[in-house]
Parts: sequence; C-alpha cells; structure tokens
Amino acid sequence: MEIRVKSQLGGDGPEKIVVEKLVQSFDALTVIDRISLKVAEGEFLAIVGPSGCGKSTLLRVLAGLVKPTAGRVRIDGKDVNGPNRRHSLVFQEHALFPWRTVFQNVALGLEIERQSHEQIRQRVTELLALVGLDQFPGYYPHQLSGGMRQRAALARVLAVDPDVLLLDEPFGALDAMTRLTLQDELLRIFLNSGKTVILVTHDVEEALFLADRVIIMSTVPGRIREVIPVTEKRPRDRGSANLAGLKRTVLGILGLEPVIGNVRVPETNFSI
Amino acid sequence: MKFSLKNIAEPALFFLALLALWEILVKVVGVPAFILPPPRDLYTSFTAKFFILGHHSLITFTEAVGGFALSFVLGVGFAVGVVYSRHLQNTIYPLIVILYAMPKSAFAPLMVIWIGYGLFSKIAIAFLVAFFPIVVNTVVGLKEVEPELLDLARINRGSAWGVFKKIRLPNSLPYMFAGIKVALVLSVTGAIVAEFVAANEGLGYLVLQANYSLDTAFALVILLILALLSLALFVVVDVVQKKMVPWSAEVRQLEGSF
Repeated sequence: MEIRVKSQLGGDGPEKIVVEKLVQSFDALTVIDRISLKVAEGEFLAIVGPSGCGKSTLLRVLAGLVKPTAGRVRIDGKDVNGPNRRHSLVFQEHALFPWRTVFQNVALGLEIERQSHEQIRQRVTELLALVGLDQFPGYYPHQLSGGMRQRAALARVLAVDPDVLLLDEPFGALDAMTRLTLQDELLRIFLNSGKTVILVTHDVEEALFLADRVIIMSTVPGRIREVIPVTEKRPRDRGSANLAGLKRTVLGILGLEPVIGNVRVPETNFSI
Repeated sequence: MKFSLKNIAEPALFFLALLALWEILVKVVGVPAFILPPPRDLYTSFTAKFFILGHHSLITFTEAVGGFALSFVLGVGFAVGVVYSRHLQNTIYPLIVILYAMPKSAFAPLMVIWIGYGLFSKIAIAFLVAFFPIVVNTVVGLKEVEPELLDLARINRGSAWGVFKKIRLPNSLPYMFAGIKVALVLSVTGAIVAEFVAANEGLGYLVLQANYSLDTAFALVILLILALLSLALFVVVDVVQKKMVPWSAEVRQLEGSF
C-alpha cells in the first residue's frame, strides 16, 4: 500500500540542489553520515526525523553556515562555500532583532543592499501585507505574539528574494491554530513564488500537507531512511484518507505507528 | 512603574506619618538633640545653611559625575577590548580581576599621596568604584548575543564593524544601562569616602564637620541631600534609557557589584 522510493527528483524543474555523500561531524560525533539528495527547482521538500538526527545541521550546511566535513553541496551547479542570501534560512526561534521594529527587521537585507529609502519602504510595505502584518510596522518584537514574530521573520527572508528558502522548524514554537494558519500562508507564498523550499519539521502532518516529498531521517548518525513522495494536488485536505494513510506510513517508519489491531510492532530505538 | 495619584499618595502619606511620629516621639521620650533631633530642626538647619549646602553639593556632584564619566568611557572601551582581543583578555583582564577583589575605598589614602589633596583624588576613587560594574555588564552584553543573530549577519555578509555596530553594541545597551545605574550610585559613595579621608570641601567633608560639632541635625540633612543626589542621577539615567532602549520591556538587572 505504501510507496517507497529511495531517491528521486521531486517536481518537474531542473536540479536546484545536489547533495553528494555529505558527512558532517563535530569532533568525534558524526551527525550526518553520507547523505545524498537532489532537490528540483520549485520543489517543496520536507525533512522529518527524531531529535538529534542532524536535520537542522543539514539545513545549516545548505545555508553555508557550516562547512561539511566531507562530501559536496551544490546549488545551481556551484559549490556552497559560505553563507549566501540566495539561499536564506528562517530559524526555529524567529531571531528578530529586539532593537528593531517589525519594519526595520524586514528592511534589514535591503538596507545592506543599499537600496533607496523609497524602494525599501515600498518593498517592506508589500511584504508586510503579504504576511498579514501591515498594521504593525512600528511594533517591537516583544510586543508581538509568537505567530506574528514568525511572520515577520518570514517577511524578512522574503525581502531579499532568495530562490531557496530553508526553514528550520519555523512553526515549532507556535500553538496549533496559529501553526495551521501559517502553513496555509507559507503554501500560498510558495505556490505564488516558485521558490525552492526545504522545511525541517517535527510535525508529520505539516510535512505531508506542504511538501512534494518527505524525507525521513534516522538518528545517530543522521541518514536518509526513506523518501516519501506526496502526489496529492494542492491545496490538500488535511483530513483526506490519502494523507492519513501516508501519515501512518511515516509514523511507522519512525517507529511511532499507532498500534491498531496487530498491524505492526513499533520499533523502539526511536524517540521523538 | 506608573505614577498615578494613588501610587504617589500612599508613600507620601506614609512618610508624613513617619515624620509626625518622629517629631512626637523625640519630644515625649526627651531624646537629646545631638543624638536624634526632631524633623523640625532638620528643616531649620537646611534653610539656614542652604547656600553652604549648595556649594558643597556641587563639589561632590562634580567628583561623582567626573569619576563616573571616566569609568564609563574607560569601562566601555576596556570591555570592547576584552571582548575583541585575546591578548587583552590574557593580560589586563587578570589584573582587573585582582583590582576588583580589593576594597576600592582603601585606595583613598594612597590616592592622596599619588594625586594630591584636591578634586582629582576624589574623582579617582569615584572612578575606581564605578569602573567594575560598567566593565562587567558591558562585557556580558557584548558577548551574550543570540547565535542566530550572528548567523544572520553571516548570511547577509556583515562586516566585523557592522556586527559590532548593528548587533553587539545594541545588544549590550540594556546590560550597559544596568551597570550605569549601579556605577552612578557607587560613584557618589566613592566621592564621599574620598572626602572623608582628606578634603576641605564637599558633602563628605561637611558631614565630618557637623559630626565634630555634634550638629546631628545638619549631618542628617547632608545625608538626605546625598540620597536626593543619587536618586536624581538614577532618574536621569532611567529617562535616557527609556529613550535609547525602548525595545526592552523589562531591562534585565544584573547583579550590582562593588
């Protein structure tokens, strides 16, 4: 009943990101062990896995913040050898500058590009409207709710118009309702922009709702365990039988399958 | 804290009651004025010696603020140096730690020998006591930056100067202000202690004079003036802080250190 494909390109576009036999260790600890991966241009890829499986590290390598111990990472055919705004990261915690207002936070990248005040004002206003923060440009982060902060962080990344969006559990700290709303908005932005998105998440439903492919990683050392394509058309129905079935498959692979009858004994060496 | 009528009325009433109680008790019990004068004597003393008080207050104020200003400039500069230079951290920092462990006011007699009898030996002591809270707080503020913000700077290819100006410095401001508040109050204390040791003007000198002549009312008035002086400085900093650091809802107060 389940489709398991070890590796295939999701989406129709040309190769955008190519990871070859990536190894990442910190001192003696190998966090990522020979991961190979291809992501198509315009693809939405989700990565799920237990804590400590190296999925955040993988994102940091893709963002150029960490130099790989071995292996290659190429984006647009070029080796990644440092951070670059063309592939920008949204952090787990919003990471807004507390001393900058929402407007100033979103404007940051544009300021660095030395755009004119008028250009910046226009672009930021546009983006704040896009993420639903047009009423709050003058607020400081501490005056906002968690969901609003994450929206601001998203707007800040979109401001420099990167072609790869790397999202590290962006909605992990939000309440369930806000999370669903922001998933819808991320989807809308993704569908309208044609950007390549890699989303690291703990939330299997989130991954299945958004992604073209879901990569399941195993822990210590981090390896790709399964790749699950999600072919259902967007926007998807969160309650559909198809997604529910896929969710069971994913949870099963993670060793968290709900025991229904005598379907399967969950593996015990995973914790989430 | 908000200043509503209710917030002001309560402490005001309390202090008035306290003064009344003091006045009555002193009369009823018959305490001699050189031990505890009634509040009315304090008022008489204050009005009679208003101009003398003004002159000496100005001197102590100059010493305290001078010492503080010096400690601010050198303290922030030193903190930046320690955060950015391994060499400074390995050489000067241990020296500072040793100095930190010494009671700074014990330097007052030495300062008279080294610097002399005048204004500058007082400024030196005020500087010594105010220096450490500024350094300690600023170092922490410059260092304790969210790692994500530094990652963000790397993604945006921020220069070292940009990271300092746009991240480390603003990040340190709430800490720095906590240090400044402690340092200001300490610098007043430092100036007074220095005046105790050797001086012919200033509020510390005046307190000693009042003591010698058993003018307890005047000594108490001077103490109140000192309290007002410290409070006024504190309020000024608080206002500046609210202007400069509006993003910090509640500014974290670090351990005040002597």
